[in-house]
Amino acid sequence: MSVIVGVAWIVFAVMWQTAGLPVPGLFGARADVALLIVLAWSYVRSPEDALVLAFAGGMALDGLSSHALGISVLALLPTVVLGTLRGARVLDTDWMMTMVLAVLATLSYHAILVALLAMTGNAPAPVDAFARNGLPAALMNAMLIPPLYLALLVGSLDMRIQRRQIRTND
Amino acid sequence: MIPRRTGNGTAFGSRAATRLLIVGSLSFFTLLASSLGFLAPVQNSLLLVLSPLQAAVVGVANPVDDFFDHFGQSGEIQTENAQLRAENEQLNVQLAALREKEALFNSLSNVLDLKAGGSDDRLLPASVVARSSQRYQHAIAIDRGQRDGIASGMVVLAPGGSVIGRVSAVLADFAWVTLITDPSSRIPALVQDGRFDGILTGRTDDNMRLELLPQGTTVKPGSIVITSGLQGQLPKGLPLGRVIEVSGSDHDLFPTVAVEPLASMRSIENVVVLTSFVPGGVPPYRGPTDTRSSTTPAQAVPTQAPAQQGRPAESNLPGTSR
Repeated sequence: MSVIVGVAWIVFAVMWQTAGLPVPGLFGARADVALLIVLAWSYVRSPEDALVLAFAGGMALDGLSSHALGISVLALLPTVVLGTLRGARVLDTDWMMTMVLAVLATLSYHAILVALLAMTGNAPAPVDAFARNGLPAALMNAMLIPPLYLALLVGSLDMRIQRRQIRTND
Repeated sequence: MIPRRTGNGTAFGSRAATRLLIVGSLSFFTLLASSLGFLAPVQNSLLLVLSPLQAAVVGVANPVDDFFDHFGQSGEIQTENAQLRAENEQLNVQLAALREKEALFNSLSNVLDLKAGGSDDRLLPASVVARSSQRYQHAIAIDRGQRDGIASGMVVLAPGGSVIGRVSAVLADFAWVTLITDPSSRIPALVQDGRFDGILTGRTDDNMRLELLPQGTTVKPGSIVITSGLQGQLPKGLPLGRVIEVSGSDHDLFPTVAVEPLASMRSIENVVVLTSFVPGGVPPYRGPTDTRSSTTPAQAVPTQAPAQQGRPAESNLPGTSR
């Protein structure tokens, strides 16, 4: 599965979400599909590819809105870094680690998004933004990341075999 | 490319860090340039590319979405439902306009020497080319821009005549319309039954709240909410929405009034821009003797699908039912 597939996937997801088509939601807050793809890609595959995805997804999000270009890309960047914490092994199971990272990534994404929107003059009320969006979205994203992680893991079987071969050669 | 895990257990090597710095800097400078307005042509081109893509995704997804939405129902019911919704919106708009005229007539019946307002509203039909149903923004992009005379602040109406939003950003060929359901939207509004003034605010859940109503007001579900014309942001008397729920106890300072928009924001395909209204100015007086207001903006909107229709010229219609 190449990065081109990832870019096509994230752009399609952004189109879907911005068009108002149904995405899983919780208490009125909807899942951040682009964020989940970037996190899963960074976690399973590589942060360098995830950066490309964050840039493509972020630009598509900003291109389909009236706010300034670059806001969503900047908000997605911490997600790439968080995705690389896989090897930290703080928790025993991978799926639980992905859930914790999804919560952290969502909160950082919303914090940066609201801050940048405020700086560019489109400020949503910060308390309302976090209570009505950030927190429910964090829970929703945490629930959705394990199946996405598993799907990407299955799709990345070739890469895992190559990685194992490199380790064996070392 | 196969990334190697580093010694500290993470896969974030120096090469990834360098790329992160590059992407971060690029995004920051893009944001800076975009905020200063230097990237308007890029945004215009981006929308030119992305809007057909989004339309294609919606075209593929809508039948699936409809299937799950109306599982077990026949197609006729869906069509009938859509027709009834459109008819209901138009009737509500007409009802609101009549009530508004009645109120004006009652309050001004003894001031007959007032000059009757002209009904020279100019309406420009437009098609919705993209939607931004994002978390902190509810907006649509229309296929009219600077070249068509669109300016920031212009009022945008649904085909039935209810307000759906205001132009918030203008590009060369497109314009972004911030919907009245957008969380940043604040519109001085009036409950028609009782004439209570308040502020209609957008919410993240696609509905709205009527806030800052006077204490002791009794608002009934089903009441129509119209623009009050205060602050000169919007002309007075345009229908905005319908009260769906009133909650709160007697001890509350203000009642919580939930309002839904009259037009279906999710499925709207054509709109009309009220190009003759100047935001911030004194709202034009609509006299009770104006009898030419039987036309709704529906007549200014072409009925073809957006992909098939041309770009009709600006129309000068006699009134907008208010």
